[in-house]
Amino acid sequence: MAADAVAAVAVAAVTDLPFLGAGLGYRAPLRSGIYQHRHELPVLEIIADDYLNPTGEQRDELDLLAAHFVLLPHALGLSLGSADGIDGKYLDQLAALIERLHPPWWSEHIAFTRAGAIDIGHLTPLPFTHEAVDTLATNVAKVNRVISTPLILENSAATFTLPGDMDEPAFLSAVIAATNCGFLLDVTNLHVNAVNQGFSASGALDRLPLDHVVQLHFTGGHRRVDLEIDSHAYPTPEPVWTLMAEICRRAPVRAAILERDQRLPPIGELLDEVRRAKALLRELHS
Amino acid sequence: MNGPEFLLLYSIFIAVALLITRWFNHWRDPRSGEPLPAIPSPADPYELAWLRGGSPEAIRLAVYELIHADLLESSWRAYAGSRAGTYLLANPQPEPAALAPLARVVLRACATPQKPKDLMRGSLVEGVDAACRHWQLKHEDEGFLLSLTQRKNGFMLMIGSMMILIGITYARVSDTFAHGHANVLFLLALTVVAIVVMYRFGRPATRLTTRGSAYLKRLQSTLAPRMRVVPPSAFPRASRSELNATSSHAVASSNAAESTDTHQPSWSPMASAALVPVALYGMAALPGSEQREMTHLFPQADPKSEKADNTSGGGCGTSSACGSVESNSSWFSSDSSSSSDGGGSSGCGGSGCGGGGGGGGGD
Repeated sequence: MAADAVAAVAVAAVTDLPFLGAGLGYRAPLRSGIYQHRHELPVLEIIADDYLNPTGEQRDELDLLAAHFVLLPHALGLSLGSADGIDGKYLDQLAALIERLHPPWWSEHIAFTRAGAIDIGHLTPLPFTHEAVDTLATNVAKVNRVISTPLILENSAATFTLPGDMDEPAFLSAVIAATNCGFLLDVTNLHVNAVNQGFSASGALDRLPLDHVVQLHFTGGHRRVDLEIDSHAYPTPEPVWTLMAEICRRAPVRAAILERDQRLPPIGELLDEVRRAKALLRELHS
Repeated sequence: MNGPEFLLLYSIFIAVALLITRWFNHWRDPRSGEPLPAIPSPADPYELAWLRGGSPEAIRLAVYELIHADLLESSWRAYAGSRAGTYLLANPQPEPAALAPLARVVLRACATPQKPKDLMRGSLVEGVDAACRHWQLKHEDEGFLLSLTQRKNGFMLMIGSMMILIGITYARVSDTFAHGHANVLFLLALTVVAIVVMYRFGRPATRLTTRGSAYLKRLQSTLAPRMRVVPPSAFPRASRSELNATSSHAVASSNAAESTDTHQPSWSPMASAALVPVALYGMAALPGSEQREMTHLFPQADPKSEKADNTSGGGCGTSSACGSVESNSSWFSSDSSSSSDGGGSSGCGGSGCGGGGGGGGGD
């Protein structure tokens, strides 16, 4: 199949993705709780980077997870915003993982983690420029030629903004339009950016490409001095729930994933949040 | 036939007998290579305990849970006409509605004082066996359990092989002595070694097939990845006063979203989940002091001798509060009244298995 045709298939599939409901980001310490409450967790998101070069034990773990849940790979290190292109080895490993799991879609960030040959080791926000949009579009096209599974792009949290041609909502809209990918709207990131940069998150919703929203991320961060930190370490705060409710009313959300990485509480507390998200999604589909 | 020739032939026979018994073990477990079924969710801890060790394990789990909830107490006491010992006795209070059926049956059995070991050999265990028959059938269908016939056949094959070995040895020894020789020590030693090896590798002692053991291992690795100590805090346990409180508020505070029944213990799905490690590993999942307490009740379930594949159905959990052996030791002397709920039967429901009532039942 010609490369462009593969890309076209990937783009077309975004508009016809299955509804998965609310789930959880898989973290190994939560394993037993997740399996014990499998009936409440139809979908899990896995960090793709953890399984790019899997050991036999990791392969077994992945296969077992895949046999019990819909798994959504969430990549961290593809660095779609890098001007020097995509790391071919990383892309091949990612493609192999996605081929193994057959997910309905997968996701990566609108950010860069690599500059030159140097791995920054952190998701770094892009300047809101037309050049950055073009770079992302070029890189995404290259990725789509290798991975036919639909890719959705996530907005990043930023504690600072680089000089640019536009604001964040305009930038995200331009990226989604240029790449024709689905949108993974991290509601917490939107909230954190709004607080830190002094704009209205609910006002931003009017200018975001909500019709492309496939998936939501939500979690809680913490405040340090005058800054909201997206630490994934606390329960989802009320303002984020309010935003989520608004988004669920206006966007064709297919899944919502709770991302909790630090200070992991008992599974019951996480399930309470997942149930609340499920209720919001149910309203969307009722 | 001279000595060396006989010994060679004898050794070949031993090897063949061993291969046949091993082959038979594999033959009766033909599904060992098939994919395992999904992890159950929600997992019923009683079914897991039953799979691991049959009715005795399920009963021990029930005792553990009941003591944790202050519904059952253990203490050292002497009753008229009985030897002094540790007894289990249900606390005189209405049964909580949230009890698993099997726990309910055990609680009713303990309406009159019961020695723990009697729970394992009385009508209670027979009733639980009968009531859990559907689990037996289900797991046999899945290829996890050996049927009684399969175990019997395997046992007969092993015994038959041993008898033939002993018979040959006897004949050879008789013949040797008849010819005035006495050099039979090596043959006798070889026979003993062969019998030990045959018992070790050819016995059909496990109730679980290879496939069943693999499934149990998978359950352990997914539902309780580490054989961890179950912290007492994992059980949102109502105090005795809470259970007896007349105000529903006292219990509701620790029992989110449950009914307003004042005697409803503060159990939740999390409490059930907290039972899972005990169901899957037995008392080995518990802290040392609590292990000792539970071992005191069920010495045959000592985790030191416990194996995951449960050849003997032994091993269970014990609990922190399970304990209360010391702190509650005076309760029997001051209050020996028992519940009058009787020892009815209960079916094996979706969340647990109930057995025909036995043991205690009624005043």
